[in-house]
Amino acid sequence: MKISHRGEVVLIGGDIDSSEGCEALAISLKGKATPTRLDSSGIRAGSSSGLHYYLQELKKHVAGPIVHVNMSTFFYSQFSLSFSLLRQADTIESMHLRLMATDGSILDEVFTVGKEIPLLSTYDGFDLTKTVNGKTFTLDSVPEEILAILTQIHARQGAIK
Amino acid sequence: MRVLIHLTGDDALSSMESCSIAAGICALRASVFPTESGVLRAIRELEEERSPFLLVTGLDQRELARAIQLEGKYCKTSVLLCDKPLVPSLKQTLAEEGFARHLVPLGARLSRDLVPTLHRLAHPEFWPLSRWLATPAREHSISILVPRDLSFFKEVFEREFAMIGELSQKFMREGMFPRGWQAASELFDNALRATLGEAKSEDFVLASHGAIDMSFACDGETLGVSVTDKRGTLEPWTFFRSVFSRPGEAALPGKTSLGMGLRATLASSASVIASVSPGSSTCVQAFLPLERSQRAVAMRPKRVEYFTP
Repeated sequence: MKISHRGEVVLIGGDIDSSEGCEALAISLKGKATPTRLDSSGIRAGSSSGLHYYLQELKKHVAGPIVHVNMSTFFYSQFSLSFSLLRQADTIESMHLRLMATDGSILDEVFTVGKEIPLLSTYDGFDLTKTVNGKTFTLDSVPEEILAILTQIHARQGAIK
Repeated sequence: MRVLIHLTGDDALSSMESCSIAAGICALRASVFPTESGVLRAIRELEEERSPFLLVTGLDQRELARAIQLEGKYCKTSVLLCDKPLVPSLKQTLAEEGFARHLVPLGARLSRDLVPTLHRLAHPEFWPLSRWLATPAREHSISILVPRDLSFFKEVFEREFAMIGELSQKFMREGMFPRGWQAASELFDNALRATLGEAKSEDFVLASHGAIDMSFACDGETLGVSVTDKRGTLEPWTFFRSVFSRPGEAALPGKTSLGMGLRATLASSASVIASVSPGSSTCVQAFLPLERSQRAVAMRPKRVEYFTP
């Protein structure tokens, strides 16, 4: 795992697997009580056990909430499998999504949650389309499952209101 | 697809039982013919499509060769799986009868992998890939002897990366590399956890039971990943809980991530086959679609199978 900074944003990249410790992340975040903006778009690949170690470090060192910006595909697909990975006060501001055209071309873009991607109670029937140079791109994954983590945020916000 | 299986040796009976389970699940009929006349009858049935699987046990290879010589014309589109080196007369007969291109020399792997192998053979969509996984000369494989400390982890992952990376350059559509790597890593993690599950003291020595075998194969449309441990602790409940868990509920109750590995593998795969011999081996094979089509990345597999004797 590689850690760097862009202003107030903590950038994590590389691979998250169980072979690596998260010491660099721990040093970077230690004692931070204000909201931490975390950009995971540099993650190349990862495993669930690697993510588990990473989250353990976060729990130990970060007191305040985490705001995920440019959230990686790996992260939100894992979070959609287990909602408990997203702590109660954490939120997702924006996420990387992969769209595909019928000819197989791929479009990787960052989408803002709550704007380009609405927060919904269910994504059954939802689709995201974008037209670039005459080609129409749609989500490469099943929306109701890959975006399931957003339904959890929607439910939490509803509970707060 | 018609399959002729010839088994001999002490494990023939247990293999036959496994075969029956596979055949039952696949809604195919397995027949056991321990005599030459039985083989002749079964070969005729092959032609009539009444017995897609022909299981031959306890018959000498020379007798099998003679039976094929007599009725070989019926066998030309069949596949022979054999768990022993072929005697010259049978090898020659197979070549003469047009069997050579269908021969699958599984060798010692046959008994261990019989059930998933049969299952895959029964589904032609996986046949080319099965052949890759089953033929040692063509597979990308590593065997890992788990040491007591886990310092080797990085090396294993780097080797996984290298192998899957090599495959991805040739075959994979963009974006499948992380999923292929994750499936391999998750299956390996689970195998490792199962292998180390009984480690309770410093005296624990993994010896031969510590080996974890991994195989990779790719036919351009599908990536096959196979991971086998020597413990056989994957229970049906654990497996099917992962299959049927709802979004957000993949982890075990009260845990944040435990139980997610298998679910994440299922999320990337078109098909997952688990073959478990309790106490001796767990073999999980995941088949990941690589095709360039929309919605190719589903969160659930189209087919899952769990086999146990």
